[in-house]
Order: sequence, then structure tokens, then C-alpha cells
Amino acid sequence: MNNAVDEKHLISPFLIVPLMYVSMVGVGVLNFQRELAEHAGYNAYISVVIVGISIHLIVWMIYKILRSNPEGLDITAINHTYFGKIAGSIINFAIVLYFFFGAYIEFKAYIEVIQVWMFPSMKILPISTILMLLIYYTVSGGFRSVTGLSFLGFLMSLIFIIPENLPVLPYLHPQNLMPLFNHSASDILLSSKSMIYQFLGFEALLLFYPFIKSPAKSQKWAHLMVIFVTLLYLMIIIITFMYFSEGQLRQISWPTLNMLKIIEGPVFQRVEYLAISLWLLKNLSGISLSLWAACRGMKNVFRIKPRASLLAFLVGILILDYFLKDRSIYRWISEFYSDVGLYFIYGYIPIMFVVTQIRKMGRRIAIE
Amino acid sequence: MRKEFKNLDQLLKLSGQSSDFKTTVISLGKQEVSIFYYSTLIDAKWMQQHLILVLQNRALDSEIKDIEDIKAWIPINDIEITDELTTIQSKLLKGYAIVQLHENDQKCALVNLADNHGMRKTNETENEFSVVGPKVGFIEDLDTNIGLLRKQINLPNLIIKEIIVGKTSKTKVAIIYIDGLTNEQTIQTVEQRLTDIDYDVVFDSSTLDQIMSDNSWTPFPLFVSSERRERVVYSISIGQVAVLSDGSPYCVTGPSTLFDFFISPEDYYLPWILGSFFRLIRIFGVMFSVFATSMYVAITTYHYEVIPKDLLGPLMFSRQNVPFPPFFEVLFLEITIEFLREAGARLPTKIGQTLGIVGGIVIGQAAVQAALTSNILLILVALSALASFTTPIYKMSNAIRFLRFPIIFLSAIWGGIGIFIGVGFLFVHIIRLKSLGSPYVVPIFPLRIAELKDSFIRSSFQILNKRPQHLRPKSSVKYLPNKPVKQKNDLDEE
Repeated sequence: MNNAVDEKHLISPFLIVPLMYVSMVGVGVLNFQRELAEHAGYNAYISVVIVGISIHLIVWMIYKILRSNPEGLDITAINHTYFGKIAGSIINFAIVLYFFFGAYIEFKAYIEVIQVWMFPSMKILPISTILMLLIYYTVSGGFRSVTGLSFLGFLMSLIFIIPENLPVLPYLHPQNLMPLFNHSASDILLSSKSMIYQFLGFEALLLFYPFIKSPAKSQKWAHLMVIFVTLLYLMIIIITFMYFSEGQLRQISWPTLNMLKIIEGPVFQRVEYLAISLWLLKNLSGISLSLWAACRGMKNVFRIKPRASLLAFLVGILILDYFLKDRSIYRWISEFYSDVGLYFIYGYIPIMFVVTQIRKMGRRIAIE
Repeated sequence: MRKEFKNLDQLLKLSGQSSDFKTTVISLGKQEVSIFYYSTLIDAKWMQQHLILVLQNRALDSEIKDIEDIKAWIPINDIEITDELTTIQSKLLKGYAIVQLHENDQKCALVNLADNHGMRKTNETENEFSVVGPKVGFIEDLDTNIGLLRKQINLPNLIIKEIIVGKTSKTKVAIIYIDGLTNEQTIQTVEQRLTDIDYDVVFDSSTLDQIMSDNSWTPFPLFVSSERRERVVYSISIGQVAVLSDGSPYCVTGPSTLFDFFISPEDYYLPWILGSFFRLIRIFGVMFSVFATSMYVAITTYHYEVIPKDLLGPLMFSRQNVPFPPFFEVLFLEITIEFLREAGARLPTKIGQTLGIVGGIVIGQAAVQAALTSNILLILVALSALASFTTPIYKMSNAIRFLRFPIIFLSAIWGGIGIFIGVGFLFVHIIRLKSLGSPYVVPIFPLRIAELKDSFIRSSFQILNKRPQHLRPKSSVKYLPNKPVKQKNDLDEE
């Protein structure tokens, strides 16, 4: 299967930075602290480090897998060659569904934040529709415009990182972190599992890899971004732990937003409203990237026009959004998604890595 | 449209129906020579002196035997002897006179007597004003404009390609670029798009601008059009293509980026620190102009919590008697300002000024007193209107004035989220835009760090010695950076 990409659609290796950022930082950054603290308590920051390191390994494997195959091939094409037409197509369709649900969960999570913080009595359908229109406009502009929106989202949330943490500093209680190790390894691993959920999304790299100009050069940026995002999560979680006591944290749904509340300027207070609004762009770019990956997968596997599958996906999200009002079903879906994601990155990718290495060795032996 | 004629007589007969088509018969001894012309297109004095008098003088000595003789006799360069009817017809309409020796001769001489009466002789850059810097602008005559450009670009490889556009107007359009510098593909694209045009009358180069543009579904201008000579010279010198059309004082240059519209030539005449400062002010002005009133709507409708209580008091106090929701209040004032702007642009200068004062001050005051709007909003709207005019290119400031309306609508429905939905649409839109195939928001996306030094800020000339790479110029160095004059650090020369 040939899915080489035209030169004019390629992006420069540096632009993988915003793409990795928007895919690894989701709405979760607003409330991941609480879930993390559930098992490992205030030792949960160790989980962040563990997951960060493991993601490095996965990113390294992804690059290995894609680089060992002929240039211009993404994971769907590789699945076809490794597993044959039928099994390959089934796996590819699973990947497409995985990205679609990733987009849906991200979208739903953001809508939830808006509902809770800004407009409790807002009708969901109109805002969902206009957001879908915006996503359609972005994704139909191709990978370039998805990257562009990601870049803007990246800049916007980057601007906010330092000012949102500085005013909190005087109110920190470092002793909250003590004792340093009072939870078992299994507790920390359980916390790590919920941390992985925050990182999910970067697997889109498997699909957009052929769109990077001289992709080998982008690897250092990818690893740099993993370090950056890990440090970002680490910083947020440590500041949160020092700001709230463990008992307090259990009562709060969105700790990051609560911390923002104390910022006050001469003409501005309650910055979390601005933060949620700014977050829209970053979030939409993450959703667009997932949907783009899903459309790309559909095109490669079933030869369906990306525009048609994009429309189908958007309408699908709207329908899911409109009919799944029950929060418990949504929670179940997102837990299922996070389980699948766990197997995807720690099961599927290492298997692909091993298969690739074996094939490579086989080829080398055949040549000799 | 243009008719096919069988012979010259038929052409003359049809042209003769117009009252300004004149026939002069001069008798030279035994001979009678007829001259046909449109009196409105030619310079009568010139004809008298250089054509009729010369012919009469020469006829005293000898006889005109052949039409070719005229070429040697008459001291005018542009003379063509031909019997091709299409040439005769088009040249007659461009201010040439037909000289015919004998009646029913098919071959005749075409003498150029064209005159530019009715054209401005000079133009001060009134619409794109700058305090420092030259004030020479383009006029409606193509040759003068090209001459103006040639005076400042002293290069033999400044190429001017002329093509004819428009079925009715047959307007001369010049594509101007520097050979060996401008990217060939860009030149080709411009030429291709201009030659493919099927259009009737080209009134202004702005028409060409829209016809050439990559995407007509956008409020943004995709090409800079300027009446300032130095601006166009600068564009050509960095490797852009300029398009001038006869009868228009505006020159279209491309491919342009969004930043080009916020650059004023003045930035380069002031020290770079000031130039950068003013550029930042301008960009801030645009942001303010687009978002100020929509933020007012969002805050007063939904998020009054974001205003600290010391400020919230005055804000609510000024609004307490206003019977409308903020959205209608804003819309009312914004539309008033649009009326003022539109009326100001249409009215004669003298009335316009008076009306500006009446409209601005009287209506504003009265609206506040009648409790139709709040004081604070009045200030915001006036400021944002002012800010929108800081943009040097008029077309862009119009686009900016338009943009605020959809964003006000969105903010009235979804508050802060609505504003950012608008920002999202706006940003994706400008990312998708292309000008002659090159990206529109170039130093930002795709990110080019090297070009950022002439975007938000204007760096010193030491650094700005390279041409922007997104234009893909064939030679990238403009000049070698000069070594700064060595200055001793002071402290009494140590």
C-alpha cells in the first residue's frame, strides 16, 4: 500500500513540538491531581516521573518501528504488511475507533468543565454544533491547519504556565509532601495507571509520522516534549500538593482551576474564566488531531474520502454527546478508553517493536 | 463588441458617427492629404505643430510620392505604416491619427499624438500618509508610475511585462519584478492569473487584486495595495512582484503576509527602537479593536465576576439606566460609528469634518444622556474605532472593522468561550489562506525564527540584511551588514 505524502503537505520537524504538546496535555491537567492522589496519596508525584520515563521508551519504540519500514508508511500500512489484509484491517479499524473515542472523551470532558464552571444551565447542542463546525473547518484544512491550530493552542497555554503558578507560591506548604515515601510500590503503580490516561493521545504520531519533513530530525523534539510535559505535570502536581492539604484535595474536583482563583489584578480577577476560554483552543486542536488521525486511518484502510469520514465522526460525536446524558456511562467509556490505551501503548507498540526487530533481523540474515 | 471591418472606409464611416471623430483635409500643392483622429484623444497643438505644419513646409519643396516618406519627414518617433485594420482600429482608439495619402488607400500612416489630458500630474500620498519620508505617490498614468519606479530601482534587470486585460477597457497592466531575484514561479503565477482573466472594464488595480486572489471567501486582503512609491520599491527589492494597471494610482504587490499590512514605511525611517515600539502599538491596536467591545459584552452579560469590585462599581453604575442588554447597546454604538465612518468617507471634505464633530460629540453625548448606552462603552467603542485606523493599509483596517461583528455575536451567545470560538475560526482561517501560493501568516506559522526580526518588531538595519525566505528569492542577501562605528565605552575613555 502506498500512502506517500505530497511534499507541499509536509511540516517541518520542529512543528512536532505543538503536536506532541496538545496530544499529551488534555483537559485532565485541570483535575488529574485528585485521581492521582487517590491511591498513592501525596507520593503520587513519583508516578508522574515513572510514567514520563516509560513514555520516553514508547516514543523511542515508535520511532524505531516507523524508521525500520520504508519511508512514507504509517502504522496502518505497516499493519497490512505484518498481519495481512484482513487481520491488518481489523487492527486498523480498532485504531481508528480508538482515536475517535479519544476525541469524544476529550470533547466531553471540556464540555463538562464549561458546564460546571461557566454556564451551568447551558444547552449543549448549540455549542457542540459550533465547536464541531470549527473542528470541521480545521481538519478539512488538512494536516497543516491542524498543526497551525495546535501551534496557537500551544503558545496560548504556554503563556499561562508561569503567571498561573507564581501568585500561588507564597501560600505553599512544603511540609505537605512529607513523609516522602509512605506508600507501597503497588499504590504508586495504581496511580501511574491513572497518570497514563493523561498522556494518551501522542500515539497519533504513528499516523502523522509520514507528514514530517525529514522525520528523523523530529525525534529529539519529541523526546524533549515528553520531558517538558512530564515536568509540567510534575510542577503542577507538586504545587497542588503543597497548596492543598490531602483532606482538602479530596473535596475539590478541579484543583488547578481552584488555584487560579486567587490571582487578582487591578482590572482582572477570577482568571479561571480566561483560562477555560483559552483552553478551548488547545483542546480543540487536540480533538482535531485525533480526528485527523482517525480520518487518515479510514482513508488508508477503506479508501473512504477523509471529508466524508470526518463528517461521519463529527455527527457521531454530536449524537453521542446529545444522547449520553448519563454521567456513569461516560465514565465507563472513558475508563474503558484508558484501559484500551494502556494496552495500546504498553502492549501493542512493544509487540510491533519486537516484530519489526525480528523482521529486520530476518532480512539481514536473508541478505547474508 | 468590436466589429470586423472589410476595409478602412467602413471603419472610418462607423467612427464618423461620433461627434469627436474629426477629419482634416490639408492640401499640399496638388495633393490632398486626409488626417483622421479622435479630437478628444489627441493633443491638437502638437498635431498642428509637428504634423500639419511640417507636412506643409515639406510640400513646398517636393511631393509626397509614397506613404513611407511620411516616416522620414515627420519628427515624431511613433509612426507605423500599415494596412492591417485591427491595428488601425485599436491604435486609433489609443490616440493615434491616421494619415491617408489618397482616398481609398488601404495603407496609411498611424501617428502617435496621444495626450493625457484629464490626468493628475502629481500625487501626494494623502491616503497613506506618513510624517517623515517621501510624499511621492502614484498617479493614474501607467507610464509615469513605471518611470517613478525606475528612478528608484536603478537596475537594467527591472523587468516590466505588459499585458492587456479587459475586453472593453483594454487596460494596460504591467507586471514588475527584478529578473534574477524574484522567484520565477511567483512571476508565472501572477502572469497566468492575469492572462486568464476574462473581464470587461478594469477600473482599478483593486479589481485585479480580487481577481488574482487565491481565495475570494475571505474578508482579508491577500495583496498589499499601496499608492506609496517607496513601499512598492521595497516590495520589489525583497523579491515580490508588483502589478500596476493603467488608470489606477494603486500598485498591487504580492505575495503578501499578514504582517505586511501592519508595516508602515515610517518604521524604517525612525530609529529601530521607536519603529518597533510603534509597530507593537499598531498590533496591540488591532487586538484591542477586534476584542474590546466583545469582551465588554461577554463580561457584562456573563462574567461580571472577573472584574474586581472597585471597578465593577463604576461599570455597573454607568449601565444602571440603560434598558438594553449589553449586546444591543454595543451593536447600536458600533453601527453608529460605522455610519460615521461611511458618511465621512463619502462626504465632501469640508462637510465631512463638520459632520464628524456633530456625529461624534453630539450623538455620543446625547446617547449617554438619553441612557441608550453607558459612558464606559462609549469610550471603548471610540477607542476601538480609533485603534482600527492605526493600520497603515486601508483595506486591512476595513477587514478589522468587519471582524469585530461576528465576534460580538459569538460573545453575546457564549461569553468568553464565544470569543475564543471566534479566535479559533479566525486563526484557522488565516492559516488556510494563501497569497500567490505562499502562506499568509508566515513568520508565525510556519514558524520562521529568522524572519521574526521584521514582524512584531523592526530590528536594526545591521540585522535586516537578508530577504525574507518565504518569498524564495534567488539571492537572499540584500546588503552586507556594516560594521558599527566603533565607540569607546565612556567612563572618561578609561
